[in-house]
Amino acid sequence: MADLLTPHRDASWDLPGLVAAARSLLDRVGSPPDERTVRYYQTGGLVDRPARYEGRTALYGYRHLLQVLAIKLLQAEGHTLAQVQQALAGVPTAGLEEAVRTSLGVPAPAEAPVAAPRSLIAAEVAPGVTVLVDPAVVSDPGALVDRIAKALSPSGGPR
Amino acid sequence: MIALPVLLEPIPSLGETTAPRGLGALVAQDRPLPLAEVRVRARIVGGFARTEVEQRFENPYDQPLEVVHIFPLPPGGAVVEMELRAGERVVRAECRERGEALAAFAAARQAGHQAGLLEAERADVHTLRVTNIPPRTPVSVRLVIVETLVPVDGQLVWRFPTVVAPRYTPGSPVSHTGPGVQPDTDAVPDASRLSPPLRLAGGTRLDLEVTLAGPVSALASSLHALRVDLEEGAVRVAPSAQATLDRDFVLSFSSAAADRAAARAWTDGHFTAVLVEPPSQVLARALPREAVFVIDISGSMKGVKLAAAKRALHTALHGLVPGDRFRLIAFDDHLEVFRPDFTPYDGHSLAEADRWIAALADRGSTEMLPALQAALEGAPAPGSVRTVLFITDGQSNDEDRLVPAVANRRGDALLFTLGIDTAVNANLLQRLARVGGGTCELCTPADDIESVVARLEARFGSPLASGIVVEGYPAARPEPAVLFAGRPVALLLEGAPEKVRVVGKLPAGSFAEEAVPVHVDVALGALWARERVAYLEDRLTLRPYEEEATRPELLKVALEHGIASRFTAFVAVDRSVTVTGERVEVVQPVEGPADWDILRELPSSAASPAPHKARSLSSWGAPAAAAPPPFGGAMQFLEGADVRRQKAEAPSTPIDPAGSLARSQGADGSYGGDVARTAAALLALVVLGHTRRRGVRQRAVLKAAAWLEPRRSDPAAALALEALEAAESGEAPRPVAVWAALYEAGLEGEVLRSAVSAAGSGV
Repeated sequence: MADLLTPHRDASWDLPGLVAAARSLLDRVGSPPDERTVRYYQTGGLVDRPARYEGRTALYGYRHLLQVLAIKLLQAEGHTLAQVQQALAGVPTAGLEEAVRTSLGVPAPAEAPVAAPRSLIAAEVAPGVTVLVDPAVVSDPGALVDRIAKALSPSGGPR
Repeated sequence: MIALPVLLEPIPSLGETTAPRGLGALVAQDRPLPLAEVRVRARIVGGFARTEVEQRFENPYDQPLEVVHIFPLPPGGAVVEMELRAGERVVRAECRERGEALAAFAAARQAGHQAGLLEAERADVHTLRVTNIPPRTPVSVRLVIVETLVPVDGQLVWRFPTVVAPRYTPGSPVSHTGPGVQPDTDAVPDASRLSPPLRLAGGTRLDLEVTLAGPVSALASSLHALRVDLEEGAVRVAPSAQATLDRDFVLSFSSAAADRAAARAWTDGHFTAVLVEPPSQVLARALPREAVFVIDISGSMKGVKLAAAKRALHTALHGLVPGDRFRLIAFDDHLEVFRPDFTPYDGHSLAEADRWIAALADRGSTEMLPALQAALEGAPAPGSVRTVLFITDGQSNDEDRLVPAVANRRGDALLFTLGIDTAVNANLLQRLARVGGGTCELCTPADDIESVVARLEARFGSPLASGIVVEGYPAARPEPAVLFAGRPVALLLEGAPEKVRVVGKLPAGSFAEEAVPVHVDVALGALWARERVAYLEDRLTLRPYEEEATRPELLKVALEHGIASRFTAFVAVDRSVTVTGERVEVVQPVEGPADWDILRELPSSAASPAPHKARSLSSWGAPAAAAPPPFGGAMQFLEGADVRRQKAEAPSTPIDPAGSLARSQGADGSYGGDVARTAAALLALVVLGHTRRRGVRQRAVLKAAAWLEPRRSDPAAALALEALEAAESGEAPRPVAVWAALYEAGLEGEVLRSAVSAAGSGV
């Protein structure tokens, strides 16, 4: 399944935009959110205060989207809003994201954080062109670099 | 080079997924909210209360916790001490300039030290922040508050608020800087610091105990059933059932040893408190009144509060006499007026006004400013007195616009406020009455509203004395005080004179009383400083352009006496604790106040609400603009989630025959213009303990007697007037057989019959 969440990571919406984004991800949930319900979630602190204001317009971001999704998904699972309030209090964005992904059946995206840093091989294959090769993935990095260099060279390229 | 950072993004790891934890897992943890308990221990000696409040927090997370709690304290109280307690360790907080305190707190937070910060947002609303609470570790914050209690109608009242109710914020949103849930607006730039999240179910336990020194009597609490234990020389009072933070704790009592000298004084050797009693009441009412009644019909009043407010309005209206004129204004985000201008008080207008009041129903948001402006506009007609009675729960954050609007009114109207709620905004209503030249009465929907209003009626006019000062000693609040019937005032002085002399003006003549201060072991300096700071804060609100001069004095007083204020805060840092790791932040959600029907009116479905009635509540804090008002509709979610809440066990409304007689009385004082019915009503009032000088129905008695007097040749009128005169000379009313003739005189006869039989059975 395509990763539907990742494109929203750096998004910024006004309230109608946030609601629309949540609705687009929740087509399978019985009661889609609307602006009134999101405002109400805010009075209970279930949705954080807006990220910022532009003039008189409150702007929301990824964390707010995750909160709206989490609330709606939990309600769909039969939990009361009071239970949701207690469960979501203090949950950091990463935890929220993981839980929402699991519930939505959205796999972790390709660029999900990895545990350990890896060393890469950097090689100049042409003047001004450097490639990075991960030795953990490529079994013979030297041969690969050679092949690329050859392909790029004016004389060695395939005819 | 530009592309390099992108290339250096980590490369996906395959087959490295952790075990999935869905949202359900978050619910399954069943993690409690951080505030575990609030413990309150108050000791009241004479008119002074010292209260210790301990808020205990627990950290149910695996990470360090920062918790924010927006909570109320008594608006007249001074916080004089704060401690951070974790296990055996106790760290005493320092009172510092607010910016310095914030910086010290931020530095401690950064360093991983456990720290606490207390800020006063308003005289009542405070913010407590505790950071770096280690995982699974409890911590508590203990505050000490001192306050002065001033008797009202001979009763001392100690009111301890436990929750900041949802308050309406006017204006357009401009930012959101604080931890609360409402945006800052152009009208209330700090609304986001005044609006705790609303808790949807459950509550925090309140463990409260009050010790009253010395003999006391007439103990009562309108919102809690009490358990009372007698101790050596003291009485210990506590709620008898499990209590949570959903309503004020209101304890009223009389001090049996009350010495009712006209002036009394206490000193700690450096500061002096003086209590000045009003002169004994004179019933004279020199000038006709222009009475304006303003009633709050916003959504938060829904249910028992609006019913109580309407009863109060009925009762107050019926206290007028012919010759008076009145206006009625009801407001939410619109004004509704009974008639555009003042209406002469007569039988016809009264009946019409009664119908108008009966038809009032709760509606939208609490826009107080236009209502108060309308009530205060124009000058009273020559030879009359303008009084405004403002009946509301006070749930507005608009203090900084309302206080100046009342203070700067043109004309000399007197503003009286009557607050009705389980978690009333005492601070706003007291401030408005103070700058409006009147008094503030606070009651709960469970109180006998009619007798509250009838007592208010005694002061609803001109003060009995004015220009009250202590000779040679300016009080913390230097403006001369006024005295209304039943309302003594407390003056706090710097210095410890051997004798104080209180002087002032009476309507005819002058007022002078002396008292010798008694030594007491009370932090009078802090009380003086609190009063001084409140005065200076009022000055900042009213004359912001004088901030340059006011601010340094305020800061100096608050720092010298170590009390929290607009410019000072308490900070405590526990360097023996250092935590690391990502911090979790929780803003503690607080309960909705008891008996707020608006918070639980809707169906239990957790789904989206059906469209609410056309003009439902606007959200507190959301602009009342074109967007559909969200609050009322969204409140639907509450019900069903909220199984714990049940209707407060308010005592059922007592059947009050005297009250119903007062309400059904004609504007001219008669009952249907009928001598027999009026005589029966007057007799019934006398049997029920009311005369022209005693009881809460003085005015109804006065009016009925005045109507009967010219008709004394009628035997029924003579009978009633003689019984009244006998009662006023101190005789107990003795029903005689001839009264029976009046039992047939309409409804009033019925009331008389049952009053007589109740009095008889009581013997």
